[in-house]
Amino acid sequence: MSSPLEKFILENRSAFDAESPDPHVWEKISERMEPTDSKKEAPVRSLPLKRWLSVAAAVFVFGLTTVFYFSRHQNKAQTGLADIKPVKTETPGHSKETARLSDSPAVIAKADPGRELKTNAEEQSTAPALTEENKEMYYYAKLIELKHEELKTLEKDEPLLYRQFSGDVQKLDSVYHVLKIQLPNNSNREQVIEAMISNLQLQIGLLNKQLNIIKQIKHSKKSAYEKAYKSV
Amino acid sequence: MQHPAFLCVLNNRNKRLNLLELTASFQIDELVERCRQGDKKSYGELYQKYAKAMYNTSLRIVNHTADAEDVLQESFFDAFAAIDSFAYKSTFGAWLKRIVINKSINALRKRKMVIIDIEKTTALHLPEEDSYDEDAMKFKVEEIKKAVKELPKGYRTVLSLHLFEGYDQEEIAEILQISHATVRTQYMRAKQKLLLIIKQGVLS
Repeated sequence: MSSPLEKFILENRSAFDAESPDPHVWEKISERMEPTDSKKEAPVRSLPLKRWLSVAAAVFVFGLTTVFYFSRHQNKAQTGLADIKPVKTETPGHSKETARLSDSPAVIAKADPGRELKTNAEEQSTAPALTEENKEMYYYAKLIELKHEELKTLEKDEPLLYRQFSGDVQKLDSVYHVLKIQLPNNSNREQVIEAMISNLQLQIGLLNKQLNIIKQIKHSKKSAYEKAYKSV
Repeated sequence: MQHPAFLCVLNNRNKRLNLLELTASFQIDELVERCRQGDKKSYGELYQKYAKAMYNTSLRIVNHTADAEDVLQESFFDAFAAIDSFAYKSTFGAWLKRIVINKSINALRKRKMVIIDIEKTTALHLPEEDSYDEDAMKFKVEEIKKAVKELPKGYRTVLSLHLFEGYDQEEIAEILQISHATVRTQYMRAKQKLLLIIKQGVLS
């Protein structure tokens, strides 16, 4: 593609596609597609019902487990934490926090409610607000856990990229843990909790972006193949 | 080793176009998926996105508006009916274009066109040396369009597949079921003829 004519056409390629087809072409196509549509409709219509049922079942199961989970932890608020997370023996006061520093969000998800409930018992006046935030944090941690799993599938294909990505998330996560350590001693609990929540939100945002990048990479692998195949 | 796409996405901010292309093809894939689920509206959107380009592609080959519209209708109908078999080995556009081109060539053949026919008409009024000073010529879109229409069918097909649709000679040989060498000579002659027509058009 080096001669002037070829170059000119390449540069002005879109100008050569100026003709427009008659609108009745689409009408004819959609008319012809009509009969096949009615055949397809039956399986399509049955899908939403199935989906609704599965959503209802999922909500039900989720509700049951949370009720079970919370009631179990309220019974043994103090010992609950030790149950969930066996702690390495060091100075007992700090070991909980240091062990949690190396936690992945997955473990946070499990450890959080128990911990927060314990503080609830201590300060009953702020209890309702805290449980709400508690739930919120639990929800985010769960989301992060899911996204982490999704990201992990990348580890095999792109180990370097995965390491960079998880490094980025780790940075945010360590800030989260610093906040968590500050929480019991801080007089302004609500601010710290808010900061923790927004940190979790940031983590989710970051993970979302990373997953998007992965999507695009998978895509460009495809389009790299296509370039060999020739694209439009 | 980092993936090249990752590099271009994160490090090379000058190449924004790459990202745009990526998202554009992503949107098309999403439309295709929705079509597979039987979403009628997505069929319409897909048609709107590609109809014009495909129509012009066909028109350059069949050189007849009614035929090109028939080809367009048949191609989209067949593509939509077989959309489940589209396997993402190429873009949807490239896949669709192959259907359009095959149908266009079939339409030409129905009009009793034989590719070898052109051999007889060649070289009669074509001087051996490249006497049209391509570099000195100023091209205009309309002139080229008009000249392409005046080319004999076989020339027009080979020329437009290469010049406008970007297929290489091997691909054209496969599409037209002719030999690689034939494609090359036909393309060269077609281009010569095109330049001659343009030149004559400018002179007259």
